[in-house]
Amino acid sequence: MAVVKPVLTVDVKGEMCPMPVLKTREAIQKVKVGEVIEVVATDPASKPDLESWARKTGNKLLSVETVGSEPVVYRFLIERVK
Amino acid sequence: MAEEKNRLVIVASRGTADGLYPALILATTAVAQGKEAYVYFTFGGMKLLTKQTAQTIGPSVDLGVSKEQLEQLLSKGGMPSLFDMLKMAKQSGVKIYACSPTMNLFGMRKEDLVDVVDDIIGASTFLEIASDPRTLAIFI
Repeated sequence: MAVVKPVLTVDVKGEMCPMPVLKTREAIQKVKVGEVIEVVATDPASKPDLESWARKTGNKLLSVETVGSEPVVYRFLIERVK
Repeated sequence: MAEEKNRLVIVASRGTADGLYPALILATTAVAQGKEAYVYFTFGGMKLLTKQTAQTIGPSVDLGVSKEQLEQLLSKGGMPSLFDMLKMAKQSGVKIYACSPTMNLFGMRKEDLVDVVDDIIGASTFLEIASDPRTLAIFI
Protein backbone atom coordinates (compact mmCIF):
# COMPACT_ATOMS: atom_id res chain seq x y z
CA MET A 1 0.00 0.00 0.00
CA ALA A 2 1.28 3.42 -0.92
CA VAL A 3 2.23 5.63 1.97
CA VAL A 4 0.07 8.73 2.01
CA LYS A 5 2.11 11.87 2.23
CA PRO A 6 0.33 14.86 3.75
CA VAL A 7 0.96 18.18 2.01
CA LEU A 8 0.12 20.21 5.12
CA THR A 9 0.26 19.67 8.87
CA VAL A 10 -2.14 21.28 11.31
CA ASP A 11 -0.71 21.27 14.81
CA VAL A 12 -3.47 21.94 17.34
CA LYS A 13 -1.88 20.21 20.30
CA GLY A 14 -3.03 21.89 23.52
CA GLU A 15 -6.00 23.56 21.86
CA MET A 16 -9.57 22.67 22.65
CA CYS A 17 -12.91 22.62 20.89
CA PRO A 18 -13.68 24.25 18.49
CA MET A 19 -10.12 25.01 17.35
CA PRO A 20 -9.18 21.57 15.93
CA VAL A 21 -12.22 21.60 13.63
CA LEU A 22 -11.87 25.28 12.65
CA LYS A 23 -8.17 24.95 11.81
CA THR A 24 -8.76 21.70 9.94
CA ARG A 25 -11.38 23.38 7.81
CA GLU A 26 -9.06 26.31 7.14
CA ALA A 27 -6.28 23.94 6.10
CA ILE A 28 -8.42 21.74 3.86
CA GLN A 29 -9.43 24.82 1.89
CA LYS A 30 -5.78 25.56 1.17
CA VAL A 31 -5.06 22.22 -0.49
CA LYS A 32 -6.27 20.74 -3.77
CA VAL A 33 -8.92 18.06 -4.09
CA GLY A 34 -7.23 14.67 -3.68
CA GLU A 35 -4.46 16.03 -1.46
CA VAL A 36 -4.09 14.93 2.14
CA ILE A 37 -3.55 16.94 5.31
CA GLU A 38 -2.32 15.78 8.66
CA VAL A 39 -3.87 17.02 11.92
CA VAL A 40 -2.24 16.45 15.29
CA ALA A 41 -4.31 17.19 18.38
CA THR A 42 -4.49 16.42 22.08
CA ASP A 43 -8.14 17.31 22.66
CA PRO A 44 -9.92 13.95 23.20
CA ALA A 45 -13.03 15.43 21.55
CA SER A 46 -11.07 16.00 18.36
CA LYS A 47 -11.66 12.37 17.35
CA PRO A 48 -15.48 12.35 17.41
CA ASP A 49 -15.56 15.97 16.25
CA LEU A 50 -13.33 15.48 13.21
CA GLU A 51 -15.13 12.25 12.32
CA SER A 52 -18.41 14.14 12.41
CA TRP A 53 -16.93 17.08 10.51
CA ALA A 54 -15.69 14.74 7.78
CA ARG A 55 -19.12 13.11 7.48
CA LYS A 56 -20.84 16.49 7.28
CA THR A 57 -18.48 18.04 4.77
CA GLY A 58 -17.89 14.93 2.66
CA ASN A 59 -14.14 14.94 3.19
CA LYS A 60 -12.44 11.62 3.79
CA LEU A 61 -10.89 10.69 7.11
CA LEU A 62 -8.25 8.21 5.97
CA SER A 63 -6.88 7.27 9.36
CA VAL A 64 -6.78 8.15 13.03
CA GLU A 65 -3.97 6.92 15.21
CA THR A 66 -3.05 7.67 18.77
CA VAL A 67 0.56 8.25 19.67
CA GLY A 68 2.18 8.37 23.10
CA SER A 69 0.59 9.04 26.46
CA GLU A 70 0.18 11.99 28.83
CA PRO A 71 -1.02 13.56 26.75
CA VAL A 72 -2.27 11.18 24.11
CA VAL A 73 -1.73 12.72 20.70
CA TYR A 74 -4.26 11.98 17.97
CA ARG A 75 -2.97 11.98 14.41
CA PHE A 76 -5.51 12.29 11.62
CA LEU A 77 -5.01 11.99 7.89
CA ILE A 78 -7.75 13.68 5.93
CA GLU A 79 -8.20 13.81 2.18
CA ARG A 80 -9.92 16.74 0.55
CA VAL A 81 -12.77 15.30 -1.51
CA LYS A 82 -14.58 18.38 -2.79
CA MET B 1 -29.32 26.89 -8.95
CA ALA B 2 -27.21 27.02 -5.82
CA GLU B 3 -27.91 24.33 -3.25
CA GLU B 4 -29.76 25.70 -0.21
CA LYS B 5 -27.72 25.23 2.93
CA ASN B 6 -28.85 24.11 6.33
CA ARG B 7 -28.85 26.88 8.86
CA LEU B 8 -28.02 27.30 12.51
CA VAL B 9 -29.57 30.31 14.23
CA ILE B 10 -28.56 31.14 17.77
CA VAL B 11 -30.04 33.70 20.11
CA ALA B 12 -27.28 34.84 22.45
CA SER B 13 -29.10 36.53 25.29
CA ARG B 14 -26.67 36.24 28.17
CA GLY B 15 -23.85 38.65 28.91
CA THR B 16 -21.63 36.06 30.54
CA ALA B 17 -18.75 33.99 29.21
CA ASP B 18 -20.64 30.72 29.74
CA GLY B 19 -23.44 32.02 27.55
CA LEU B 20 -21.34 33.62 24.83
CA TYR B 21 -18.62 30.99 24.29
CA PRO B 22 -21.09 28.19 23.50
CA ALA B 23 -22.94 30.49 21.07
CA LEU B 24 -19.76 31.37 19.17
CA ILE B 25 -18.31 27.85 19.30
CA LEU B 26 -21.48 26.36 17.83
CA ALA B 27 -21.79 29.04 15.16
CA THR B 28 -18.17 28.79 13.94
CA THR B 29 -18.35 25.00 13.95
CA ALA B 30 -21.58 25.09 11.95
CA VAL B 31 -19.86 27.16 9.26
CA ALA B 32 -16.93 24.74 9.29
CA GLN B 33 -19.47 21.96 8.60
CA GLY B 34 -20.80 23.82 5.61
CA LYS B 35 -23.89 25.34 7.21
CA GLU B 36 -24.98 28.95 7.31
CA ALA B 37 -24.82 30.35 10.83
CA TYR B 38 -26.42 33.39 12.41
CA VAL B 39 -26.01 34.76 15.91
CA TYR B 40 -28.64 37.19 17.11
CA PHE B 41 -27.31 39.09 20.10
CA THR B 42 -29.94 40.42 22.45
CA PHE B 43 -30.16 41.81 26.00
CA GLY B 44 -27.03 40.76 27.95
CA GLY B 45 -25.49 39.16 24.89
CA MET B 46 -25.22 42.62 23.34
CA LYS B 47 -22.39 43.35 25.80
CA LEU B 48 -20.06 41.61 23.39
CA LEU B 49 -20.93 44.03 20.60
CA THR B 50 -19.41 47.20 22.03
CA LYS B 51 -15.73 47.48 22.91
CA GLN B 52 -16.29 48.99 26.35
CA THR B 53 -18.90 46.52 27.56
CA ALA B 54 -17.04 43.53 26.07
CA GLN B 55 -14.25 44.17 28.59
CA THR B 56 -16.72 43.74 31.47
CA ILE B 57 -17.91 40.25 30.50
CA GLY B 58 -17.20 37.69 33.20
CA PRO B 59 -18.37 34.19 34.08
CA SER B 60 -21.83 33.80 35.61
CA VAL B 61 -22.10 33.17 39.34
CA ASP B 62 -22.93 29.48 38.93
CA LEU B 63 -19.62 28.81 37.18
CA GLY B 64 -17.91 29.34 40.53
CA VAL B 65 -14.71 30.94 39.24
CA SER B 66 -13.56 34.55 39.08
CA LYS B 67 -13.09 36.45 35.82
CA GLU B 68 -9.31 36.16 36.23
CA GLN B 69 -9.43 32.43 36.96
CA LEU B 70 -11.62 31.83 33.94
CA GLU B 71 -9.28 33.84 31.70
CA GLN B 72 -6.32 31.77 32.94
CA LEU B 73 -8.16 28.51 32.31
CA LEU B 74 -9.18 29.60 28.82
CA SER B 75 -5.72 30.71 27.80
CA LYS B 76 -4.28 27.46 29.14
CA GLY B 77 -6.67 25.61 26.86
CA GLY B 78 -5.65 27.69 23.84
CA MET B 79 -9.06 29.32 23.68
CA PRO B 80 -9.19 32.80 22.14
CA SER B 81 -10.82 35.68 24.03
CA LEU B 82 -14.52 36.24 23.42
CA PHE B 83 -13.75 39.31 21.37
CA ASP B 84 -11.29 37.38 19.18
CA MET B 85 -13.81 34.54 18.87
CA LEU B 86 -16.35 37.07 17.65
CA LYS B 87 -13.93 38.35 15.01
CA MET B 88 -13.04 34.78 14.00
CA ALA B 89 -16.72 33.94 13.69
CA LYS B 90 -17.30 36.93 11.46
CA GLN B 91 -14.28 36.11 9.29
CA SER B 92 -15.41 32.52 8.87
CA GLY B 93 -18.77 33.74 7.59
CA VAL B 94 -21.07 33.76 10.63
CA LYS B 95 -23.70 36.48 10.29
CA ILE B 96 -23.83 38.77 13.30
CA TYR B 97 -27.06 40.53 14.18
CA ALA B 98 -27.73 43.09 16.90
CA CYS B 99 -31.09 43.46 18.59
CA SER B 100 -32.84 46.71 17.87
CA PRO B 101 -35.09 46.85 20.99
CA THR B 102 -32.11 46.21 23.27
CA MET B 103 -30.31 49.12 21.64
CA ASN B 104 -33.30 51.39 22.20
CA LEU B 105 -33.63 50.34 25.84
CA PHE B 106 -30.02 51.00 26.67
CA GLY B 107 -29.53 54.01 24.44
CA MET B 108 -26.94 52.35 22.23
CA ARG B 109 -26.22 53.73 18.79
CA LYS B 110 -25.05 51.98 15.66
CA GLU B 111 -21.71 53.81 15.92
CA ASP B 112 -21.13 52.22 19.34
CA LEU B 113 -21.12 48.71 17.90
CA VAL B 114 -17.98 46.88 16.79
CA ASP B 115 -17.67 46.66 13.03
CA VAL B 116 -18.51 42.96 12.80
CA VAL B 117 -22.25 43.57 12.97
CA ASP B 118 -24.04 42.71 9.72
CA ASP B 119 -27.33 44.31 10.62
CA ILE B 120 -29.56 45.57 13.40
CA ILE B 121 -32.82 43.68 13.36
CA GLY B 122 -35.98 43.17 15.40
CA ALA B 123 -38.17 40.21 16.27
CA SER B 124 -39.95 40.02 12.95
CA THR B 125 -36.78 39.73 10.84
CA PHE B 126 -35.33 37.28 13.32
CA LEU B 127 -38.42 35.06 13.13
CA GLU B 128 -38.32 35.11 9.37
CA ILE B 129 -34.70 33.91 9.41
CA ALA B 130 -35.46 31.33 12.10
CA SER B 131 -38.61 29.87 10.60
CA ASP B 132 -37.01 28.51 7.45
CA PRO B 133 -37.55 24.72 7.42
CA ARG B 134 -33.83 24.01 7.03
CA THR B 135 -33.07 25.94 10.19
CA LEU B 136 -32.12 24.77 13.64
CA ALA B 137 -32.71 27.60 16.10
CA ILE B 138 -31.41 27.57 19.65
CA PHE B 139 -31.57 29.99 22.53
CA ILE B 140 -28.57 30.38 24.79
